Amino acid sequence: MSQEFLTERPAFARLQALAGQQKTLVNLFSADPYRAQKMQIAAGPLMLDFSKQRVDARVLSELEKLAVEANLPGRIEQLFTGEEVNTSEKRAALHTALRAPAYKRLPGLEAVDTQLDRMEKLVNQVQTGCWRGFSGKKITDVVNLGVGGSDLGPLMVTQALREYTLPIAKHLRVHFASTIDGSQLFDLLDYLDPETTLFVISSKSFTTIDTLSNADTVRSWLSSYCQDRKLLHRCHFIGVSASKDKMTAWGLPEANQLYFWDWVGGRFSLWSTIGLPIALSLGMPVFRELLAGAHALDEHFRTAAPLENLPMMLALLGVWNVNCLNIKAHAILPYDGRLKAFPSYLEQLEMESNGKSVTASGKPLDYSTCPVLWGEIGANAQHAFYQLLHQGTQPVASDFIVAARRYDNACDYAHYEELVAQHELNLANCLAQSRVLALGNAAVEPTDNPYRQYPGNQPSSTLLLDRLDPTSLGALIATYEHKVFAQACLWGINPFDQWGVELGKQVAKELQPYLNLESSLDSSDLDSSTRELLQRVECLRSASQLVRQLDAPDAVSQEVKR
Amino acid sequence: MKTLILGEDLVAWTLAAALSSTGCRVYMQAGRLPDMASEAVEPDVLVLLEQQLEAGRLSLQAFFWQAAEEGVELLLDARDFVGLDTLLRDIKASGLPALVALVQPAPLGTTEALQEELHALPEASTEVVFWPNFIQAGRALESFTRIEQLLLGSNSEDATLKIKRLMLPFNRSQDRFKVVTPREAELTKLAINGMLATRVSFMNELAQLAASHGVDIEAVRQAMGADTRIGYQYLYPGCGFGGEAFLQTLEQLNRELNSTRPVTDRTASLLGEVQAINDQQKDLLFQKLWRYYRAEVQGRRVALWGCAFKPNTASVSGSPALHLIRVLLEHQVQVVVYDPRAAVNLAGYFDHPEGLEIAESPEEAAQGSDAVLVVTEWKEFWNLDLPALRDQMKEPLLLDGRNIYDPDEMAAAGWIYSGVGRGKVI
Repeated sequence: MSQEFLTERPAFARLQALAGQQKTLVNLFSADPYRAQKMQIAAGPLMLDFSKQRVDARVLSELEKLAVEANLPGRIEQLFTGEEVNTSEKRAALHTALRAPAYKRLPGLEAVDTQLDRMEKLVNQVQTGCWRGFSGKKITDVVNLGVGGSDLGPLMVTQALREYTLPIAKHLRVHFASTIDGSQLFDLLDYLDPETTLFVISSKSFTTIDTLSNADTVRSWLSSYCQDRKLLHRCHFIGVSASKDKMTAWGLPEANQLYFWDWVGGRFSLWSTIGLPIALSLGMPVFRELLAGAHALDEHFRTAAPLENLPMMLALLGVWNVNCLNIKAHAILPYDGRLKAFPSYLEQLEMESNGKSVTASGKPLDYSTCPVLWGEIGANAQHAFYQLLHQGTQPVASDFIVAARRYDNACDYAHYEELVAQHELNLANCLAQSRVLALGNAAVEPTDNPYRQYPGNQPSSTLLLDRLDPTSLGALIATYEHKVFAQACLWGINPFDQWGVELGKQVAKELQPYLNLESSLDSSDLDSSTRELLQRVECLRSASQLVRQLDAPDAVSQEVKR
Repeated sequence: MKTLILGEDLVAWTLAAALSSTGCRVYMQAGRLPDMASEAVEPDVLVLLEQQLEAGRLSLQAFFWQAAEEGVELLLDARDFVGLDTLLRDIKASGLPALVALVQPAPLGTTEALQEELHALPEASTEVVFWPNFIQAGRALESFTRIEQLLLGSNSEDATLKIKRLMLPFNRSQDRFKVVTPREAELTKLAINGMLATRVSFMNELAQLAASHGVDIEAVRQAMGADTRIGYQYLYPGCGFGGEAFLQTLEQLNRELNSTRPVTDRTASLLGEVQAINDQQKDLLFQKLWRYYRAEVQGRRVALWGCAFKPNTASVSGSPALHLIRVLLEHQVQVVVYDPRAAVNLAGYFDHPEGLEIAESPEEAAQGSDAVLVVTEWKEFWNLDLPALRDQMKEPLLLDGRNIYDPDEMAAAGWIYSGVGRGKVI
């Protein structure tokens, strides 16, 4: 399997040679007035302009060969047909099957429709008020308890598509709580009504400690209002998991369980029943439109030739930037306030998938894989980290994401014209920033002020959406999923496992007993830093406990009696 | 006076009966008189209508052009507000009668806007007044002919005189007319209903507090009502008020009050809360059933006593019963309804009444059921032989939405009795 290493592919060697002779973006643009017309790909509601990437026709031709050498078309087919592409965990990765329409469902996957239908029924029950809390009142609030893929995807989509909320879903408030420290719950439980709040416990394994500890806190909170545990389980919890047994063991009745499967990766799972908060918050038809948008992009990915294939082009450009141009940072810059959570969603999707240093068969790599990826709403980031992009010392590649049309459905508002003016301002900023990053000084009047020098030549892609709606968002997410898969194929790694996150969980479990104030475990085996920090924490916590006891008169009198 | 009355509901028919009985020549558009069981009439109204029809003072099936040809002088619009354009079109089609009176609630400013449009027509001298009706279902004819107050919104002395003349047969003993501007009358009509609704919802909120403190709300109600500043009217807690006209005006007033508020803030107003409390009350009996059976309600059998929105009417529109039946059926509860008059009108609201039965008597409805829900306080429910009925029940649970029984007597008779703000807390 010498073919699994990127660096062993013939096309890669030629690409590296080309990288040494690369012209700057200023030169590339002046050499060809039609550059932008040649460097764009359309896929449904999306359009990719990659003319501000540091590539030319020769580079593109070699990238195409690289795609063929890595057998991308064949690998895509394996992905879609359910072959065991997740080699280390010996499973398929069939998220694409979740969003195919029912009539195209792969044989044996009828359960996808069964679960979608069950989800739809639950959503209807909650939205119409048929679902009742323990005291018989209708549900007004839903809290999604989940972390990682069970949180980021649903949260991001729910925020992005809020304006498409169907009337039936408008009265329901959906919240998200993910953090292991219970901070978000602590705030929520302060004002939520226990009689009218429903909790969704989302965890693929149903053992995720972050989520299950939040669920236990919630159950204890509810128990102070209703002692009948069976009634609480029935009226206030829905479980979404691949582990039926674990949900049952936790106490969830079967009717309150929604399933998905081993072959759905957590970070690829928003298309499954993990999307329940999306459907609750926006309406089931909106969720189905999201699926349809992603499916259309799946078909594009599966059928388009490498240089006309939008996700594949993003993957190839990424490899070119990381491995040939040595650019190890990647900024995600949506110029759209609705996509606030999109960068953090992509951070998980890309870095958890492709932050790997061994090949799919376990051999160590000697080249870079996933770059450090981060982002923010573009116009806000202009007031934060753009300084580094423009005049810092790190090369950074960027993705600009923006919708051409906005506020079409707000034309009755008195402030419509001002909103449209804001949208135009936003578009202008988006275009200006990618232009200045690429061209630097050449984009403006020359000056000899040393502080006003802009080197430029920072590459970027612009993803232009017709407008942000359920269909285009579905396509946008699927684009990045497929980019991640194609990139993993090029790097020779498995994007569907995440062994790196396991060790931390295990050590946390080992350390937890040391933090119990009653315990007196010997910590001499630990490293000195951890030991010192443990001792300091114990000191601070014991002191405050003592103060609390002294403040409570009962405790003092008991103390005195003793 | 030759009068065209638009509309086919209880208000329209009551006006037609009363006015034609005083000698007016009344034209209606309906093809025939309503059935006895219809929500649009009450027994005395129907009798009167039949007499007027026979006497030739009432004509049915009158088209606009016929009204125009007959030279109609007064047009009474008793329809739910149809919009300015339709109103104007219909007035023109009726041959621009000298006087138009709007008798149903309309958005503030409607009367004046319509008047302006009519004044702008070169050939028209039509005057428009807002003459809110206070016709109450259950005592429709009486509430019109023995009216306590006649409110008229008019800017024209001539028009005012005409309405006064029209009402003289019912208004002889003293002049009960209160004439204000149309806009003032429009708002007054909305405000009266808003005030009444607020009193009821306030009592319902109190009832909840009373229940949680073991206080009998009935004792509180009587003591409160004795205060002359408050009085006894509209102080009954219960399982929600209904009535189409009432709910509509309430909704409209809420809209007017909230028209400048952001959408997200609309329930934060007093009247928004009044409506929210009423919605909760309409659901209350189901919630009690849910709590009593610890959510195991599926497959149970429940008797509803009464489905009219108030006693002595066949109307179920806006009634808590509609809500309760829908919710019970949704949860696969079998529902048996008894109502002396209104049960037939349920058919218009439920397409596939699977699980919904109509009983011939309250006893029959209660037979073998898991609970009786009292929704309408018909007089015939007050003195039933409840001790005997107890043994016919699968579970002697009575959820009284109208507080018509005494908690102690019910308990002594072996019932599990829960009223609104009294009896067992469920």
